[in-house]
Amino acid sequence: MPAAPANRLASNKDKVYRFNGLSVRPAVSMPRKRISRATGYANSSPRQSWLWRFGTFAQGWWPLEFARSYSGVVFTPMAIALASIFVTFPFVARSLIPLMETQGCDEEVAALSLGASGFRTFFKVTLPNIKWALLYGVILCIARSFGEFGAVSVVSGHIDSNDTMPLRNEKLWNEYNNQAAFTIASLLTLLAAVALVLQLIVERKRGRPAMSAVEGEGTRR
Amino acid sequence: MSIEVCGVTKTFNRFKALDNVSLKVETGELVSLLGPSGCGKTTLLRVISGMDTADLGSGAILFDGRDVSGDEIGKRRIGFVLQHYALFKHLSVFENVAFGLRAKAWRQRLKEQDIRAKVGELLQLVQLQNFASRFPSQLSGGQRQRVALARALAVEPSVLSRRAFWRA
Repeated sequence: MPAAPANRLASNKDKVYRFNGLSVRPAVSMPRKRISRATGYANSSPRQSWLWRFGTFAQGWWPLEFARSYSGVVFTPMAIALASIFVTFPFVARSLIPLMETQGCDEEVAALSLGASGFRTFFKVTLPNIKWALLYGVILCIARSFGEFGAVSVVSGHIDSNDTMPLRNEKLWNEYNNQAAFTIASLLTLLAAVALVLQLIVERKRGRPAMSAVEGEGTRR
Repeated sequence: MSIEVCGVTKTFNRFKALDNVSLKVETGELVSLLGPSGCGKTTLLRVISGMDTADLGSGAILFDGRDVSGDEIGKRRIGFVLQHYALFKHLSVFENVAFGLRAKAWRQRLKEQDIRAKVGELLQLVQLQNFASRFPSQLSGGQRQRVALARALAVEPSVLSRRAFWRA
């Protein structure tokens, strides 16, 4: 690739870029006057600017009004749950997606063609087929949320009633309460061991139906 | 039940799988679609059965003169024997056959003993009455195929659709 000339941006002033068929003119090449109109900078009044107009339009519109009246979810146990969900759900997805991709949707189609409703198809056909993989993902989730520190630490706001085990552990350690800190640490270790055992059990269970699926159903598309 | 397909087109990206296909099947007729692989037999069956939809505004599918293009797959009353039979591997042969009967709305649902009787009858029909408590993974290919047939017949479909050839 040849090196771009230093003044490339300036020289490409009128170049129109295309994204999905939309032509986008880079902001660099926007006339100064229009920029000042848009932001209410320079010699036009800020009240005429599009930014101001958008702001007045958005007032009373959902997000801002909501934010004004609602005290927020952050610094509550709900926030901790949400943060944990955010970091742990990829584990469930990662254990489910490959399985569901290899299984295909033949059985669901068969169930639907027999007149079953969507709910029934899900609970009687889909769920039994993925239950061990789902459980496996859930256990990985649990293990991960035991150890989750960063995101949870931020949204808990260091409020005592919001503490998860690692958070409390850190507090106790910082208070030089070594005995309590080590107690919690060893409890966490125990829980980790329990999760590991559960994981091994489920992994073994999960192996069986998957194997029979491979032998039993013949070649799949 | 008569099936009529009027000028249906189905495109995948730019590839035209079905191009203005019309077909009429009278009640009681037995029809097979023949053609080289990839010529659109399965696509046509999928569109007729409701597993797939034709291109927007391309044509209609009529069952007994009634347009069913908007109906869901379960409402069209077509019995399927899918390519790999798609038996429910966590259910026994009996439960597989009974699935469609149990899935009906509870007003139309048969009583438990009627379901039993009917499933027994169907299993007799496909000569699998001794295999009722087995699971699909414990059956041979031909047996599985017969279970799939019994399962499709259990809901008394007005059309029976079967992809691919009998393998047994």
